[in-house]
Amino acid sequence: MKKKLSLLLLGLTAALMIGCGKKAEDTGKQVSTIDDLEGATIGVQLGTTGDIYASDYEGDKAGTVIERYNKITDAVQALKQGKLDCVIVDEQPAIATTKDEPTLMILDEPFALEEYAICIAKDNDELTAKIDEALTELKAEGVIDQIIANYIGDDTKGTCPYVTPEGTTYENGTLVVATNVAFPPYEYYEDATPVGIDMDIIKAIGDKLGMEVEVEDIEFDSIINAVDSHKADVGIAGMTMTEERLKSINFSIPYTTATQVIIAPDPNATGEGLSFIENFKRNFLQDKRWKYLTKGLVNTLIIALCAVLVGVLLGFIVAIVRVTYDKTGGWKLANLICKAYITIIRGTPMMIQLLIIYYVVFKSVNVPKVLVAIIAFAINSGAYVAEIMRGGIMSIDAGQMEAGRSLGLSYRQTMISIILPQAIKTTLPSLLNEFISLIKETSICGYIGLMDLTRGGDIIRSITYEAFLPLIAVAIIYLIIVQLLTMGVGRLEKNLRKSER
Amino acid sequence: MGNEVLIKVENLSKSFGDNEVLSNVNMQIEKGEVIAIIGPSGCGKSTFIRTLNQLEDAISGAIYVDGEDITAKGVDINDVRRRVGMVFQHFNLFPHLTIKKNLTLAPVKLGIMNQEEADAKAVELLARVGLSDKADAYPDSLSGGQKQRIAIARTLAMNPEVILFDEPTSALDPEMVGEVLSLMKELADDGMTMVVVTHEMGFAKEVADRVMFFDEKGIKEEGTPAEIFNFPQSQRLKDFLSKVL
Repeated sequence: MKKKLSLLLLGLTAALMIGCGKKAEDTGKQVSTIDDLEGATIGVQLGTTGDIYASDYEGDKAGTVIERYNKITDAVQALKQGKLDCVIVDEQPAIATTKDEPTLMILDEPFALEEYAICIAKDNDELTAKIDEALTELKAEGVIDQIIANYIGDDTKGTCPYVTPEGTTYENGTLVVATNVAFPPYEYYEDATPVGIDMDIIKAIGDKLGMEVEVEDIEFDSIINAVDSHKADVGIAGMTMTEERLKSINFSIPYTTATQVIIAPDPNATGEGLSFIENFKRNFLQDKRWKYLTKGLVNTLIIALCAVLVGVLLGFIVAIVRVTYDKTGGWKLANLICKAYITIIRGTPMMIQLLIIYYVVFKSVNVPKVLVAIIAFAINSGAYVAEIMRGGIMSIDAGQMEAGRSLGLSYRQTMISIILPQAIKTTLPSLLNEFISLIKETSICGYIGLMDLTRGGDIIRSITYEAFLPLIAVAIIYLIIVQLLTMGVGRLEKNLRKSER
Repeated sequence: MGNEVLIKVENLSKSFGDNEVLSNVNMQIEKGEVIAIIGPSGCGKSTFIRTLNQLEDAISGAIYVDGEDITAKGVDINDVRRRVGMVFQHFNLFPHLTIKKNLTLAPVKLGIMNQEEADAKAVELLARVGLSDKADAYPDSLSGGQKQRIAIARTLAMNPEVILFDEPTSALDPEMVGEVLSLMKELADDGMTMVVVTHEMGFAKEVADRVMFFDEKGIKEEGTPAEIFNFPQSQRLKDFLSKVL
């Protein structure tokens, strides 16, 4: 078994080294001016202004195709691999993203001009007014210009960081800020902390309002939802005020202007990318980036383990109700409820359940995300465990119940001392397999901004603009854990068979 | 015999859906009696014996155990079952428990004995069925005959007034039938009241006080072994005996 595993890993590593230098075939169209956009395959980040503008081209006669990505780094990655002809994105992220990519260029001709603003919930005019006031003051004091200069401009970069004024106190509580930390230089990770222009600006506003800033990293297209549902007080993510957005959210006065530009492959580029070793260093070793993976892994394991424990308890209760109804006809109403629960949970995707629990059920309650994830996965797992357990109980020979009852034991006593111990024993391997599949399922935790293993890999991707290595690394880690646990289950099954002999 | 009546069955009927399997059965069992129930497959004899401890509930009629109607509402059926033991065709030992635990579980759970008393009783019973060395073994390591002897010991651990045997040797290999039957004979000799559904005509002939021939939803003929086996009255019984003897 161990031999097989190491062989598998070896094979994967080999595939990884080959895959690294490989490039997909070009789709063909070279974009050099805005006019070339017609008929091109354009990459954008879902829900950004680039998306909104590019959508005007969608479905035109020339056959323009818009590909929408969750992260701008994914779009750039696709462009590098020739899956796209160009990417439309805000200027500063474009500069940051293409810095280390000699095969890409930014077209000189700007695509559009826009203004960034902070979004606040519609029913929160008080906060909107306060933020507008703070922004006006910060502009007048030159703080905004100072912050932007600290991130943009070769001469000024890193020279004038924002410092919280002395004597600032946070007696007005916390300001929960939703953002998508994959948009440099407005927001990106440095040593696992979100930094960037937006982060400093909102910090400065928080300082003005006497509120401590707490950052929530979620998907860009979820930010407005999060603010609207009061999961966050404000959203700041290089967001442009559009008519569509104004329908569901309020905006502050703009704090800066930005240009939308087009990234396209550089026809004159020849250079080769980084070697595998350099790539590996950049993705995992530099700035201790492997820590995103270990941190995420811990969360993944915590969520899966707690969820399966609660799920087993829940599933156990449901199974007992269902079996008791099947065998004695009692607990009719409870059985109906349990049946409905199983039907709903097994009939809808886990991701939707997670989003509903986070955004709808816990809409106005502030619960730690790990707990939300545990609850969501436990409820999901419970439905599957219930059916496993029910099968286990039903598989116990009817003669066992009769023997127990014929000795004078009650239904309950027979269930507890005779049926359940046997049922649990036979279902134990299946229950462990449920835990194993749950580990993989938790990879959707990123959708509520929780840093699990998958999200950890995503964060590395957003820093290094490299898709291959982080994704493969994450896959290998899942594989190893699942493989180890599967081996454990195999051994357990063997031992179970051995006992009672 | 004129002994005290232990079980009395009055006008017992039972159906599964539209299919009536027992119709107006009347009989009684006295203390210390051994009753053998014989008959062709599907004649309702297993269903009948299972109604005696209410593993199957009766549709109509009454069953009196110690004068109490156990089909009545509000009867503590668990209490009745402690007095009416049962041995099954397929033994139904608890595979997750050791032999000793199989014997002590019910008496201890029901508060009839504490663990020490139950353990002592188990040791005594295991010696009686000749399986003292298996106390800490699990059921799956036993042969069929050994399993059935343990099942009998498990029933005895409850000190029942009567034991119902539902085809106790039908699932056994032929060479193991003897050990179970001789144990049952010992029990009968000790005065245990027994109702035995069986295909072992030799046992019925030799051990039973009375033999009941079940056919067509009820008792077709009953009498002493000599009457039933030597002077069968009905054509059905004659046909049956000619097939099994």
